[in-house]
Order: sequence, then structure tokens, then C-alpha cells
Amino acid sequence: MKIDKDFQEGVAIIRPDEKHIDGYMAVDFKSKLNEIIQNGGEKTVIDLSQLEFIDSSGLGAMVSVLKKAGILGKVKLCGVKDGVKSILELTRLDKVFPIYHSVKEAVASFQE
Amino acid sequence: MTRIIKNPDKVKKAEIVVGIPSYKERDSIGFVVSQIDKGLSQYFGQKESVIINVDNNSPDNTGKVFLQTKTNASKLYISTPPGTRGKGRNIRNLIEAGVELGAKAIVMLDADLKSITPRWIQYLIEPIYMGHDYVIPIYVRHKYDGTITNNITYPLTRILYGRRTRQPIAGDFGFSGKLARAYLTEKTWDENVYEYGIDIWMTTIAIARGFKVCQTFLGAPKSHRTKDPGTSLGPMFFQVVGTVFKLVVDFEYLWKDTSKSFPTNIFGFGLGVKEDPPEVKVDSSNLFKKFISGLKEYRTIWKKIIAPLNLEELLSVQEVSEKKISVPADLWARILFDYIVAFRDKLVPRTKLLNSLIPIYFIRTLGFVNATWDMDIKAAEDFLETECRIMEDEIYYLIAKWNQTPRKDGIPSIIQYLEE
Repeated sequence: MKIDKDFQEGVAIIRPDEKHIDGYMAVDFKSKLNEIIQNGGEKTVIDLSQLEFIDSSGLGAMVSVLKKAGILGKVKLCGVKDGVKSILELTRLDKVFPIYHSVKEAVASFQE
Repeated sequence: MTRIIKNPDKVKKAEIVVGIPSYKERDSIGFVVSQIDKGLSQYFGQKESVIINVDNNSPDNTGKVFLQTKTNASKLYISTPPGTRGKGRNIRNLIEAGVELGAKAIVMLDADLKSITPRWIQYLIEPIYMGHDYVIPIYVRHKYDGTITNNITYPLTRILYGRRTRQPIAGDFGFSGKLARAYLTEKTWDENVYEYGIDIWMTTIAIARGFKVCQTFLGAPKSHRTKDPGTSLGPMFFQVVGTVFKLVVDFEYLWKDTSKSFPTNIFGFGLGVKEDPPEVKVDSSNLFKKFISGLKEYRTIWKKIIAPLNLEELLSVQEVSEKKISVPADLWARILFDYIVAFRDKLVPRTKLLNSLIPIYFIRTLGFVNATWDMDIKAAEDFLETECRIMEDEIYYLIAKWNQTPRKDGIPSIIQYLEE
């Protein structure tokens, strides 16, 4: 799976370039996220603006990365579409991952 | 169900009913009956009480030994017809008898108990007179006694129904006449419930239907026949876990709203008995070997049931030496959730599905043994508490997976999801 990486103001921006993240992609998704976190992505924003669907395995990968990142709040989400947001709300992960409208807002929140 | 009844004391009503389910317990039932009788005389002497042996027509004269044991309380023997087995069938007979006799309090106690004292009767019945409907014992157990409880029934009861009841399949329970009547009207009795699934069924129904549940601190260790957790599990694993999974399907509306667990009231402060529970020896190599042979036998089935991410992590646990193996609590929770959803969807026949979980349960047990090897009972309890909290955090995974509607090509559809 393709993941775009970028850095803004010391914050790693991860943008999965996929419409679906499901069980078949979760292994790859998890290892790529881990790689980024371990290579300096202490403050991370996952930009989900391309994503239309994420399943339990994809969520599992994100939660796993969150745990590796250590402290709650170090991994933040942005660009979450309604379908994905409803999954995050249903599973109460919206309480675990801070969600922002845009990359800019998410990056700025690290400076607060 | 046809019943064989022997009622030499012509019992027609009773306020307190104490039942002993049995099958071939000739050598142990006499002691249990004597302790129950002493407890009834000492603490509830003014109440009309009966001791009932609910038996599976034991060919070893269990019933005869029961009826010949001298007691102050009346006795009643009820058996299933010859050839009909199952603890749940005996308990069904006990519940029906309790309701027919108009009991306010019903207690069930295993026939192989060695550590029962008269005070157990007081501690199991008094909470019912104080307004509780279901009383679950807490007793000290060896850290490797009750691995199905520690790894499956206790954490899942916490995660799914939000109640911390440390021994949900204790087998020794007290319950009110009101709850007994409710049990009889339940539609969820099935073949597993009529067998060893009965204990977790009773606990789950009591919690799920909103009855007042408490724990009672018996203090003394439960001393009964124990065995290495790696020895043959027999049908018990299948019946208990099958019942847990079936109830998850039945009570979907409840667990989706459970966000965290709460402690359950504890009655009493223990009985002041400071005994070490009987040691349970574990053959670690055997647990590992059973996982490896399970891997060969069930790999294809695991691929169908377990999500790729979880399967990859599971298969990697064997890459370290046997003494260092660990199945992390979050992974174990997600694997159980994968199994629950596969059980609902009948991805593979349910017998095969449950059998394929056993080797994973063994490797999880090995990980628990490794992690707690140098710990005393208290430290092992603290470790388990931490593990359960980690497992609770994975509930999101079950909810997400439960709501996925697989497309024909196996890829979940967002449109189908949103239409639900």
C-alpha cells in the first residue's frame, strides 16, 4: 500500500493513499506506520482524507501504533470523512485519537 | 424432562434449597452433605430447608450414599433418566424443584468439594436475604487453577457485560427464588447450557437481565480435583466457550454499550482461613507442543477466522525460546473477538471452530505461566488485573468487526456498513 510522508514543524504527516484499509492491507499499514513512528515520528498526524473505509484490522493497526507512540495525544487524525468518522465514533476510538479538520489544525495543536 | 424422584421425607415446600449436582461422586458426596447440614442447622435452623441431590443417575450409588447420610434437614433425590448426562440438566432439575417448593434461596455446591465448611452455607445464603439475587463466591485458588476462567470467562464477562466477577464459572452459587423463576423462562437454554455451559450461562443471565449480583468472600481455598491446564480439556472447553460465544450473539444490544467494567460488591471479609490452595503443576513443554501440533492441524482454519494482522503476530510468538513465550493481552483479546465474529457467521463449523481455538488457548496459558512463574498468588492476581484492563481496551475491535458486512469478494463494503 502507498503511504505519503511529510514533515511540518517537527510533526510527521502520514497520508495513506488508499480508499480502503482492511484486513488484507493492515499488516503492511501497521509496519509502515511503525517504521515512520520509529524514525522520528514522535509527533504524528495521520491524514485520512483519501480514506473512505477502514475496518477492524485497520483500526487495530492504528491503535497499535498509538500504543507504540506511548503517550495519548501523540498520534492525531485529520481529514476524517463521515463514513470513517462514524466507525471511529461507534467504536469510541474518537475518544482515543484527537480528530482535527485539517493537517494545519492538527499540526498547530501540537504547539498548544 | 422426565425425572426420577425419591422423596423419603415427603418434602412439599422449603424456604431454603441446597442442591448438589453429581455424577459418580459416591466417595465425596457424604462429606459435602454433612457440611451443608451443619451449616443449615447452625445459621438457618428456624427456616424450612431441604438438601437435594440432583444426579445423572450415577451407577455408583451416589444417590444411595446421599440418602443414607444422616442429616437434620430433609433430603430429596432427583435424577435425570438413565443415560442422560449433563451438569446443566441437573441444575435445571434443581431450579425447577426450587421453584416448585417455593424456595426464597437456592444454593448449588459441587459434590467433589473438600474445603467446604458450614460457614459457606451462611455466606452463600445471607446475601440473598439481604436483597441480592445472585451470589458468586470468591475463594483463593492456585494461580494455575482455573485457566479457562482467567483467560476467557473472567475477562470476557468484564469486557462484554461490564461486571468484574472473579469466578463466573465457580460452580458454587446462591440465587433467589425470583431469579430461579427467570431462569426457567429464558429462551437461551441449549445443548451446551445443559452441560458444563450452565455456570457461565447462569452468571451471564443474572448480569444481563439486571438482577442484583454480589460476590461472597469464602476465604478458604476451593479444594477439589485439580489438573494440569495442558491435559485434555474434554468437552468442558467446548461447552463453556461455546456458551460464552452464543451469549455474545444473543446479547449484542448489551455489550455494544459497555465502555468499561465496574467492580461487583463483595459480601463478608473472608473466613480468616490462611491456607495455601493445592498446587497445580503445569507441564509447559506440553502446552508448547500442543500449540505446534495445533498450528499444523488448524493453520488453514486460523487463516479463515483470524485477521491477517493478528495471525501474523500470533505466529511470531513462537520465535523465542519456550520459556520466553508470551501472547500479549491485546492480541489475545483480538483473537477471541475474531473467533466470536466467526462463530456468529459460522465461517467454519462451530465444533471445528472451537477446537481450533484450543491450541491458541494453550499458548496463551503458557505465556501466563511464563509471566507469573516467580510470582505469588497476590502478584499473579495483580498481573491478571493489568491484563484484563488491556483486553478491555480492545472492545473497539469487536464492535468494528461485528459491524462489518463482508462483500461477496470478502472486502467489507462501506455502503453496506452505513446501511445497517
